[in-house]
Amino acid sequence: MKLSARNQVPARVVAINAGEAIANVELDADGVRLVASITVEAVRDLGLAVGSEVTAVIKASDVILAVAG
Amino acid sequence: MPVFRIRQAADLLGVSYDTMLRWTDSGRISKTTDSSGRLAVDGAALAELARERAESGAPAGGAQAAAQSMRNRFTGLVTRVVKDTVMAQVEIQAGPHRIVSLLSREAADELGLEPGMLATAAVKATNVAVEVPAAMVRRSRSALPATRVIPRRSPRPGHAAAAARSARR
Repeated sequence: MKLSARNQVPARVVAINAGEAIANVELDADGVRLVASITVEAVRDLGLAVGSEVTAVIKASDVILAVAG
Repeated sequence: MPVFRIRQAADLLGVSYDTMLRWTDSGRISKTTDSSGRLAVDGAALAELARERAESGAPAGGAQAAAQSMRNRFTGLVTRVVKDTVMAQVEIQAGPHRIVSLLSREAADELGLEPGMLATAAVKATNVAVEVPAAMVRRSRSALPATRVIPRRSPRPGHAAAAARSARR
């Protein structure tokens, strides 16, 4: 399957903090820390666990830029 | 718990009045009565039936997706593609739903999007807003915590309860 999302970052799951409905999944993308807030349902469907290899997908219009200043 | 008259329930599920009536007679959906004692169906049971029907009738294309965290998917035919030099607007007709996606032209070109293609619109669950009919908001407002209600002007004491009573009538 092909995706329209321009940003697809390979990463490894380093922690899963699950609440009742939402889980914050912490990722290590080659030294960069990413956090994905996804439903607990999605964590179960994807069979996510610490160490899972995943792809973080971010739609280009959702990326904010910052510059030093 | 909200209830719906047979005509309204039939419209919501896209079936005929006679079909909805047959389902209540056969027990496929349990019948109840509205506040006036007229035949009706329970909102929760209707929602369950709607979900079952949508799942059983979903196009096979939706099942080909790889495992993804996206909770919301609309699979359908691309009906329109408009591109400028930077962005593209793509419309998908997924059953009764017209879904519009704004994406980069780069993405639209890479996916080869054009009218007639099968495509899936995916929406992250945290990006979905929920709306309810105004009548239902009035009915349930008295049940909300007081701190959540921001009246436009000072209501008389008991105003919300009186409004809720009149909405039920």
